[in-house]
Amino acid sequence: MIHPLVLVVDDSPTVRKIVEIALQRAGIEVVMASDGLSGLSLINERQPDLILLDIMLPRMDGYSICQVVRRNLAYRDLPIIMLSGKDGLFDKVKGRLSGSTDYITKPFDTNELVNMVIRHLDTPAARERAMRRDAQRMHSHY
Amino acid sequence: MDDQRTALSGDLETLSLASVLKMLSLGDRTGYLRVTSGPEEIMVTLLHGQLAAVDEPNQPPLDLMLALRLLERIEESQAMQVRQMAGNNHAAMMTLMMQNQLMTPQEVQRRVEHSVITPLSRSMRWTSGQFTFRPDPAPMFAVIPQVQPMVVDYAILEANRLADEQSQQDHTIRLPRQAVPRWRPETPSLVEGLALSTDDMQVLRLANGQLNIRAIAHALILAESQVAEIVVRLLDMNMVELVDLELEMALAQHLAAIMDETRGELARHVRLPVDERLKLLVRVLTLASNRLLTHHAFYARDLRGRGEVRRIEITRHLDATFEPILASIRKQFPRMDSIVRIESGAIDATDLETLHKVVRGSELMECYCDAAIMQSQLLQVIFERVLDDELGHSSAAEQLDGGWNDFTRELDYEIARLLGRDSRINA
Repeated sequence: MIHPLVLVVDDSPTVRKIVEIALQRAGIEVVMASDGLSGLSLINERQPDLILLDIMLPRMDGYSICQVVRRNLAYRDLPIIMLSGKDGLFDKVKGRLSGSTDYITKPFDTNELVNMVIRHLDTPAARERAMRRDAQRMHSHY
Repeated sequence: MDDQRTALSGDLETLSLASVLKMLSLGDRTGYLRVTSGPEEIMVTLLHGQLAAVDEPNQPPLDLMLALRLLERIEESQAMQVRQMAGNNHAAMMTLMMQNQLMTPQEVQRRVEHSVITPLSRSMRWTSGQFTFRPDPAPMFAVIPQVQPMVVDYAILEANRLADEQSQQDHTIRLPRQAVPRWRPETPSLVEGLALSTDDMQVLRLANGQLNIRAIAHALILAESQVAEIVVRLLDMNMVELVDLELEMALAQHLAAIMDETRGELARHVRLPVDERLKLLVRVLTLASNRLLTHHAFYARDLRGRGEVRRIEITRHLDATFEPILASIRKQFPRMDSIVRIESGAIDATDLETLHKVVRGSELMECYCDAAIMQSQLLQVIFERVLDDELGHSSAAEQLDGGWNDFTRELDYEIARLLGRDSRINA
């Protein structure tokens, strides 16, 4: 059984915990980072199927992470959902310009968040990425 | 007049107490010798080079009248009369007892010797400190007529013997001399049928929760170590409990304040929406837990009797004691994993105040419900821990526990009421 993997990058432990519990309840595996640079290294290490990314982060902000990820061909179609308290049009536009796929503002309803995540994971590209990762995991296991 | 000579002072590192006493004895000096070592102090009254009395100014006065009443040696009216005439002057009290034939001169002599040897035996161990001798040609305050002052050499010998005995027993008996034993409520029915010695019985009679080991030893003319040994035995037999009245009073007062404050705060904001009411509940429960921790920072068993303890040590102690408790409760409430934590010796749930900025809808309400139940459980466990650590299994602890249970029942009822209303809304 394929379990999609979501990376949550947020400096607030409260947000990380709430998102983790909500996603796990939906059968989604979660890895978490509390700052931008740790988030970037986890992308390479764990190859998630989706990233939930806060904008204001220590060490590297969400826009910069988004740009770095999009410059890598392997992650060009990786869904990135910006997760932020900022609701302004400027941030939404800036988020889109830096390459994010979608946007959810705080406070969020966890059901809406989970539905949005599932919607972005339910694409042929995302399914293929998950299968590839699982195959790699099996290979390294044996 | 040889006692008009100059005063004498120095430190115990260069001249031991025994040497100082011998020197004053050889000079037939009369006056007061004050010896201090850290927080400890004794005042020796010398009469022509002999020891008339040794007082401990830092210790509470010994209530000999109360002890003699408990031993049924004198009537209340006699005790009152002696108290009125002598006040707190121990020597005057003994003199009056002797004059009124309530005590024989031989007993007074033994009491004086005991009250000289006991503090002297403690101060013989002091290796650092200061001494000052102030001549006084007529030190009447501590002198009892008809009582022979003690020869210094004999007193030193006895004090050293007692100190040796004490140091041997110190390894096994760890009761401080300030420890106050008190009969357990069921003690009277237990006494019969037990093979208690006369000393055991007398210590038991004096264990009324007011006299400490030092006072009991003084009243019975026994060594403090001997009384401590008997108290330990009585403790093992569940005949007595140890009490600290100051501690009991402080905890009772703090608990009453916490309960009043919590009840008052909840009563002030009755008409709130369920989510706001739950938030308020979490806030007051957290505050109550923190008030208990603040109290415990002063009265925790491990922190008591150590003089001034640095704030960082207190914080470390509280974190080390309560973090495992919090972690264990938090396992039932995974949402609270990072929201409620212990930091710098206090419960921190401030993230809950801003949670509505992060999440909304049913998840938010579930977080509030989890937080209220968890904080209620946490408060109860902190209370139990504090009570057990500070008062142990005692009558006072049972009484405080009873009052607290009524309080927590009210809180549980309020939580259940809010959760019930919440589920109806959700339905």
